[in-house]
Amino acid sequence: MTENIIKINGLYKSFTLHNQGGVRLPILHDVSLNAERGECVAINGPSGTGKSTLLRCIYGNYRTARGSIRVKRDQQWIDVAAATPRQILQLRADTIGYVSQFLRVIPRVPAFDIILAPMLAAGIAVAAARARAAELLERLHIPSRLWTLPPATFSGGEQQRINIAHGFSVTRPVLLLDEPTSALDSENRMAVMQLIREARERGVAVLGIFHDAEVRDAVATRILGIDLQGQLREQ
Amino acid sequence: MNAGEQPLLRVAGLNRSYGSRVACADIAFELYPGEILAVVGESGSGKTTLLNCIAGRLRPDRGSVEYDIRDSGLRDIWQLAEAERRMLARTDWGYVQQNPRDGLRAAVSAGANIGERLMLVGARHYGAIREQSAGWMARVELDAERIDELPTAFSGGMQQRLNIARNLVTHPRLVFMDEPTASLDVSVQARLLDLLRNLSAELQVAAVIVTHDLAVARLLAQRMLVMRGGVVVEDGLTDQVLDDPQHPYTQLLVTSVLRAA
Repeated sequence: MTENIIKINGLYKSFTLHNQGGVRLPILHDVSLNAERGECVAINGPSGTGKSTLLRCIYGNYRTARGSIRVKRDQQWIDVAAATPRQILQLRADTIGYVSQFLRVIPRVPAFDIILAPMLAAGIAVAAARARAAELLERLHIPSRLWTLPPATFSGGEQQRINIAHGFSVTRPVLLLDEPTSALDSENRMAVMQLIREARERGVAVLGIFHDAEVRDAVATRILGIDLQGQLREQ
Repeated sequence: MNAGEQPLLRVAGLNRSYGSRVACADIAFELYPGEILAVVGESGSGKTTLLNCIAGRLRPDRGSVEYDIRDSGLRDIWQLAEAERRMLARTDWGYVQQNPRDGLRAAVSAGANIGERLMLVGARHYGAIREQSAGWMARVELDAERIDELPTAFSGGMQQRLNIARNLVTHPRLVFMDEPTASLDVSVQARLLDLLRNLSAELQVAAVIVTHDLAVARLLAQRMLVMRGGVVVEDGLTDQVLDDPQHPYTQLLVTSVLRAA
C-alpha cells in the first residue's frame, strides 16, 4: 500500500541580494511534487537549477516565498513553508533527516559522538545507539582509530561518510540526500546505496540529488528533472 | 520538546530609550523551556539593553516581560516586588557576563563563589555545600583540588567556567549570557562553547545569549534575533537566518564573516 508523506504544491523560491544592488535570482518556479513512503525520488538537472535549494526548502533551512511543502507527521500534515521554528525543529527531530553535502564540524566533538547524538536525542538506549554507530562506521569503512577523534582534520571523503552515518543513524520517514556520494570511492558508494535500499525497505521516502548516474540509476525508483527555468518534470 | 507547552518567557512591546536615543523598540519574542535564543547585532544595536531589561536589571520604559514563575505561571517581572525579582535572579535565573570578574567575588575562594548561591537559597550544611561546589568544579572541567584558591589564581577561561558553575549550581531554568566567550582566547572559546552546549542539553536550561559572533549563535542557539538600531530586523531558526538571510543587514552580517576553514 502506498502512502504519501510529502506534498509540495506550487513552490517558488528566489533570492534577493540586497547588497548586490538588489539583484533577484529566481530559482524554483511553480514546483509540485509528491513522494510516497518507500520510494526514492532522484532530482536531476544541471548545476545551479535549484536541486539543493529544493531540499533545503523541504528541510526548512531556506524560507519559501510562495507555495506549500506539506510533510506528514503523526498522521498530521505540517506545512514547512508556514511552520513555526519549533514545529520545524520537531519535524527535524523525528520526521525529516537531511544529509548535506558537507559536514559542519563542531570543535572537540568526536566522530562517534556526532553519530550518537541524533539517536540519543530520539530516546534510543545508549547501548543500542553505540552498536548502531559502530555498525555504520564499519560499513562506511571508517577506521576505528578515527572514531574518537573530532573530524576537523579528516579528509573530505571521511567527513562525508561521518555525515552519512549521522543522517542514517535514526530512521526518519523522510530522508533528504544532497550528493551523498560525491567524494566517495566505489566501495563506499556501494555501502551508501545499500543504506538507501535498507531505508526504503523500512518505508522511508528518500529524496536525493545524485550526481553520479550509476548511483542514481541504481537507487532511484523515479527520476525528476529540474530545468534551467526551475521547473520540475518527470523523466 | 512539546509544541503545546507554554513559554518560559514572553516579551511584548518592549521599549527602552536613553534620553532621545532608542535602544530597544517594540521588541517581542517568546522563549520555551530548554530553548537557546541568540541575539546578534553590532555594538550599539541594543542587544545588551534588551538582555538587561528581560533579566530584571534595567526597567523598560514600556512593554511586558512575563516569566513563568514556578507555581504561579506567567507574571510580568516588572510588576513584581523588588524582593521577588531578586529572588528569581538568584534562584531560577543565571547571568553570565562578558568579563567573568564582574560575576565572581574576588575576595572569596572558588568553592565559596559557587556555594554562595546555594547559601542564598537556604543551604546551611557546610560539608554539603562544599561537596556540591567541588562537584560543579569538576563538571565545568576545573580541578576540584583548587577549591580553596581565589578566582584571581585562575586564568580567564577558567574564571568564566567558574562563573558558569556559580550560576548553574541552583539549577536555574533560564540563563542570560552577555558575550560569554568574547573576552577569551580563541583556543579557550571552543572549550567553553562545547561545555555550554553539553550543559544546556543535559540540564535542559533555556538561555538568551547576546553575541556578535555568528559562529557562537550557530553552535549554541536554535533560534536567533538580529538587532539593528534597537529594532529586531529578522528572526527565525538559526540556520535559516544564517543560510537564507532576508534582511539587507543580516545579509551584510553573514557575508562579512571571514571563513577560517
